[in-house]
Amino acid sequence: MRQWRMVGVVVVMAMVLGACAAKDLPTGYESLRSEVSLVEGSKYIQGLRDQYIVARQRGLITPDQFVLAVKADETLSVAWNRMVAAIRAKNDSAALWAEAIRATSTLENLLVSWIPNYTPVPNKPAVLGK
Amino acid sequence: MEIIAIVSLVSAIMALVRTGILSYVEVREVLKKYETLPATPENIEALRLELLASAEMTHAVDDPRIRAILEADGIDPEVLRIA
Repeated sequence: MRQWRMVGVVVVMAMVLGACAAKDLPTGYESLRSEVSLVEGSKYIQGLRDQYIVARQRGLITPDQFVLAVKADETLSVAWNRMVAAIRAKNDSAALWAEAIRATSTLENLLVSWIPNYTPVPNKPAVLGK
Repeated sequence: MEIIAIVSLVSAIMALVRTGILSYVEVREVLKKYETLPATPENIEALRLELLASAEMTHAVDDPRIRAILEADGIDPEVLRIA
């Protein structure tokens, strides 16, 4: 019982730390909130990657599942970087966002269905959908 | 079975904590530089570009941990690379 309480405390700490990162834009720079959300989005995707790497190291997913996860992650990282490049050029589009969100969802669904007792990565930014 | 579940849960939580702390520290470091700089259009654009640089993802096949696992499984990571 006490271990589960500790687990809860640790998860809440991680969520609070992530939430703090979004709220401290210096005065006058508040218009960059969506760019901060993108940084959080990339950390969220990194969290998904950490999940399947750890799962493979622990033998919780097979080599074939790992390859499929890498393929989904590769598709996601390409879509994500394409979107970031478009935002940098102030030329992003709904289609690029949709592609990144779809690729994120694909990787999430694989992990949820494969990893036993899957713990979702906290602090999923709103830009990636709920 | 219960031990495996607990071990996997603890590993997942450690990964989550690491991700949360990294996210916090990296964003804070970028923002801290601009706390004392006036919010001129040039500075806002400079911070925007720094944040976007932080938002870029490393390709999955370029992650050394992924490459090591694939190679240990006899798979060439480059086969999985997308453009």
